[in-house]
Amino acid sequence: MPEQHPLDFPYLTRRLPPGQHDDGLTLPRAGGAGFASMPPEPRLYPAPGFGVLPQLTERDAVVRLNPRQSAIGSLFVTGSRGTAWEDNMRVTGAQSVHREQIGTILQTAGGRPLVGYVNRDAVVALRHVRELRRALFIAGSGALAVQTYDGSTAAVAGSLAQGQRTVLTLLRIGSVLELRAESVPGEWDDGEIWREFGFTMTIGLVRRR
Amino acid sequence: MGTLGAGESVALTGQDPALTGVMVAMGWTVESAMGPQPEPVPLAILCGDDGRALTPEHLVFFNQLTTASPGVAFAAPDSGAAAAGRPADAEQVDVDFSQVPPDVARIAFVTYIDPEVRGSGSFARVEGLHLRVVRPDGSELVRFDASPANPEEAQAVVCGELYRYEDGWAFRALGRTYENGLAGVGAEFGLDV
Repeated sequence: MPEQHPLDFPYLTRRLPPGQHDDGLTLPRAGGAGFASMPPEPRLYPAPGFGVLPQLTERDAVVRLNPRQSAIGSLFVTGSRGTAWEDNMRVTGAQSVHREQIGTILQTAGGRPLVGYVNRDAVVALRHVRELRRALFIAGSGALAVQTYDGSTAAVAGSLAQGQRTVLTLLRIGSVLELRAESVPGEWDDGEIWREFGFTMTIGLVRRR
Repeated sequence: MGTLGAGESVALTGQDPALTGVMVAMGWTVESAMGPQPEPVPLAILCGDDGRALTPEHLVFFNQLTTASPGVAFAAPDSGAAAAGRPADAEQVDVDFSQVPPDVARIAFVTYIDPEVRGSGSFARVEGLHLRVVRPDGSELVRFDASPANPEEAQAVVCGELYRYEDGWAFRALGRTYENGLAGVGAEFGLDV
């Protein structure tokens, strides 16, 4: 059996250098090429499918979209005050619901931002999901709701505990997207939240593909 | 075998009994313009005798490269085609006849416009939609020009299908369009999209 890194969990550590292939789960390791070349999906722990749980809670905080839900049309997140994104090349950016922007806009080949606001909804252009590494959606004053093209939905309260604010994280693991409801102190501004999740905004240019 | 018209078919293994598989390639060009572009997406659906998908998961496309049924796999396009003087296809699906399970009676090849909320959801700015059936060595068996007659309304096209014929496989050109896009395709084939 190839050696597995003891911290092989996407939320705990990120060690791939920029430009290296990233399936969202695999860390580089000496002699582990065979393991790393395996698709990551069979190695995932079980999680409810998207659309199975009507609501994410502190106890049931994770759902996983199937490959069709992860790649067709638009992923809508309603109720967020801001979003941040990171692509496979570690290019990052953020936008508020009021269209204040920082970092780099990721412009897809189809002429749409990979992640951005449409009216008051944060939208991910799923035709280009393979370019996305992860995204954050910061709850506003109310609940967050997520919807995919097949009509599946899930909601999460804007605060999962007293004095807390919900941050919905979106992580691509191979061909599937995973949504996780996390909490941060309610008074934190967006900059503190980005730092908490390891986001450092890259230079503010439009990246075209 | 040449170029087919809509509704015409050809017995692939009937004409070439040594044929062990094919590559089905689809391509197009998008008229450039400012703003959001239409984004065609090829899809192959593995169907039973009733013409519906074996399960809602029996399809291959760019984000689901294989299914539980072997023998059909989404493949990276031939990036060196244009430089080598070969037709440049956008996407390809490999079919290994010997690996396709008996419960797969036909394989439908669809191109849909990605239903992104920011629009351009029809074939109005898509030109030259085509499907080619190619031998494993790259030589072309048959071609079908599948551009819809109603591009302003069409949002998905079933370009053609491979189907079992006698003891082998045949291909039929279809060119059937859907004004309700992938939702219409999903309803007809029983997909969970």
